Amino acid sequence: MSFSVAEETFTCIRSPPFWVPGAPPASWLASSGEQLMEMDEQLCLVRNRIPHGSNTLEIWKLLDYSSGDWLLNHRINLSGHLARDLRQSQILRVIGSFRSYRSTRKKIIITTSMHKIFNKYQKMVHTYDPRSEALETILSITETHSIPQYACPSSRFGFIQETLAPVHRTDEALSSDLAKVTREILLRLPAKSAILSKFVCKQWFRLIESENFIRSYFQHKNMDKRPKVMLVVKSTGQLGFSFTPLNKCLQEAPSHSTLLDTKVVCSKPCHGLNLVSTETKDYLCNPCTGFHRVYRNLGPNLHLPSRMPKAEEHAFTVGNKNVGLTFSPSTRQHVIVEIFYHRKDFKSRQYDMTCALYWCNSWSAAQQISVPPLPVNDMPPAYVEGVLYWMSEPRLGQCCEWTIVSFNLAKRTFDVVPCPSWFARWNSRNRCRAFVVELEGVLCAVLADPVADKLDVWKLEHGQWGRAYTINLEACPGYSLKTSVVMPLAVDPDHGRILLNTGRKIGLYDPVEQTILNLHSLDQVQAASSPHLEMPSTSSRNSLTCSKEESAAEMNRMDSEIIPFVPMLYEESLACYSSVRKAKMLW
Amino acid sequence: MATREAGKKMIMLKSPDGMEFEVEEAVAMESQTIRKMIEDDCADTAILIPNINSKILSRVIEYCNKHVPTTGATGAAASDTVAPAALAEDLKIWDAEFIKVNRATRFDLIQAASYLNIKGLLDLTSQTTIDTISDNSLEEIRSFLSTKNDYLPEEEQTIRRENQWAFQ
Repeated sequence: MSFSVAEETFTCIRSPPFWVPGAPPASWLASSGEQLMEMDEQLCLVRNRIPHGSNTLEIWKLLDYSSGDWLLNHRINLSGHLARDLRQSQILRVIGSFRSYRSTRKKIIITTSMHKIFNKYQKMVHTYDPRSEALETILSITETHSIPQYACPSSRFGFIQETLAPVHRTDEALSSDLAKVTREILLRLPAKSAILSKFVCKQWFRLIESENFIRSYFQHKNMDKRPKVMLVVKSTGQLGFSFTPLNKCLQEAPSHSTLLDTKVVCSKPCHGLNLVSTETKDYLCNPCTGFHRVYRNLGPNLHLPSRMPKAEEHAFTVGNKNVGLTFSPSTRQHVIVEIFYHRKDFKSRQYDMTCALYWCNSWSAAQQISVPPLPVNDMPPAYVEGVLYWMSEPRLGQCCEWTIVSFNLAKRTFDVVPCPSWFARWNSRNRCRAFVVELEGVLCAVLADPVADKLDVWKLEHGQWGRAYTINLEACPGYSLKTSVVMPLAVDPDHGRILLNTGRKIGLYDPVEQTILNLHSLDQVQAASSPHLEMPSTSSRNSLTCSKEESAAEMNRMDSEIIPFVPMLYEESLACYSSVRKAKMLW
Repeated sequence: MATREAGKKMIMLKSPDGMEFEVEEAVAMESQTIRKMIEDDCADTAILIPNINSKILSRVIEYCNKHVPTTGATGAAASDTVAPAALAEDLKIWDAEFIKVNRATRFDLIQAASYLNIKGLLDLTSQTTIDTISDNSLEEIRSFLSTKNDYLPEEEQTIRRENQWAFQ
């Protein structure tokens, strides 16, 4: 049987004439078997006749692939005294032929392996001159195999060809000294500049596109683990929105043209990319380079009348869906998991949902999968090491307790993780809200108590729930749980401050002082964009504006309307999907 | 492990052109590469630094001398306490002066910093290069780094199409 690499097809070649169709091979012994090999760039079949008592070795040559004609090319006589070693060996292999430089005479190389005593094996290399029919032993060694062998170990001799062909595709130019310097420089470029530097020359292109570089870049840029924030703003481009660094946004007076007019919800970064969702679409984005891809939701089934209670509006939900971004390390691609509600009825506790996977590097349609074992609530999921986690909705279905629903992409299965036992007693009291977040790479469950104005953050480490933080928001105007949902986004590794996001405000909470350093507030923007008011000066170097004294009354609006600027946590990376080549991912 | 005496332990660094530099162990250990060698006890007498000529090596040592954590009165290596702001400012000015070298030297320094794994020097030298090229057009970058545009027009078109999002 043959396989053509060019045509990618298997074909059958006619068997040599000595094979009787349908007849089983004479013997299964390794030494008696026939062996396929390549000699003089032609396919050959070596037929060892020793077990059949003829003391010959036949080499048949395939003359033509299409006709399948075989020709007996050599018959090596092994009956002589010199051939004793060959006759007695358990393993006999023809490995090829060579021509020495001085003479044009061809010699066939035969290797043998023979069991001598206990764990000693004699391995030999012989040459056969087809013209003079002379056999010569050119090498004989005795090898010791420490591990007991049930069968005779085969010879380890083989042909080598001196070549400079590399095993991996390496680029001579890329390993030069200049290239090393170039690499160090490019690693430090902002992501967009790094992408644009592909146009300098082919060498740079190969360097920047290489997986190794993309991985190093990600590691280099995210070494400090400091949370970085961008704002999603409206833009006139095809996408409808764009990303602007927080400090840039604070320095420049915003105009009405950059205020979003659709509600968007952003995920946390997952392997260098973010998911930005609107009611009907999900956008996979790299906010640093501008890479993006659109995924249209499957949406509600139009045949079913949609029976939905009025959605509880807050900054972290859009439409009747709950989407999360996960990553498949084996196929190196991001996967969007979309849970869509067709029906929710808190009175009867009835619900109807569907679940779909979108493989981000393929243009094929979404893949419908079985639904999670429990209904999920309207808070976004958390991604931790290949698993997405949601908080369940205790007002729907059989279970009245909060439970965490997990989705393992590798196993394609949903599972449940019990909540900290502390959560159970708060379930029906104080209109508490529960959700999951990822902080410092660990799954956290958050219990938000609007009466005490307090967030209880528990973390799951080594299968045990432990208290991670208590965030006291009583003294933090604008972050009251009475008026908004407050989401802990990340922990600043330097001072242990927690980045909090309400959708309208984003700030750093100091757990010791129990105060908030406001990084960005929508109120600033709205005040600034109003023509009658002066833009507050925000010229401090890192654009942090402290507004502890801000009145709470100003903020007492539910986030029911569209939020004109949406803060989003990001990682600086070169991650993107190419429309033709395979994914160029991080690891 | 090399013994840590209270006195200053000296290390000999040799460049391939035969020059020898005697430096304090603490200074040499600014290089993670050398630190590893010392910690693995592979640095008895002298360490040969291949690929780095004496001119560049002396500059690297100059940098490490300046950046080695200040030693206390007892002579023991100071802990990694943050240098006072004034000292940091002073270092910054010194760095700015240090990096005022021609392009070839800077490239050699990047290479040396990369080989010796001296993060501060690598950041300084690379960032300086970025600052000089980042505001330039592709053509200027090419001429600055003496690389040629080897794309065919249609190849460039393909890449441009592929990376269209980067131009928006």
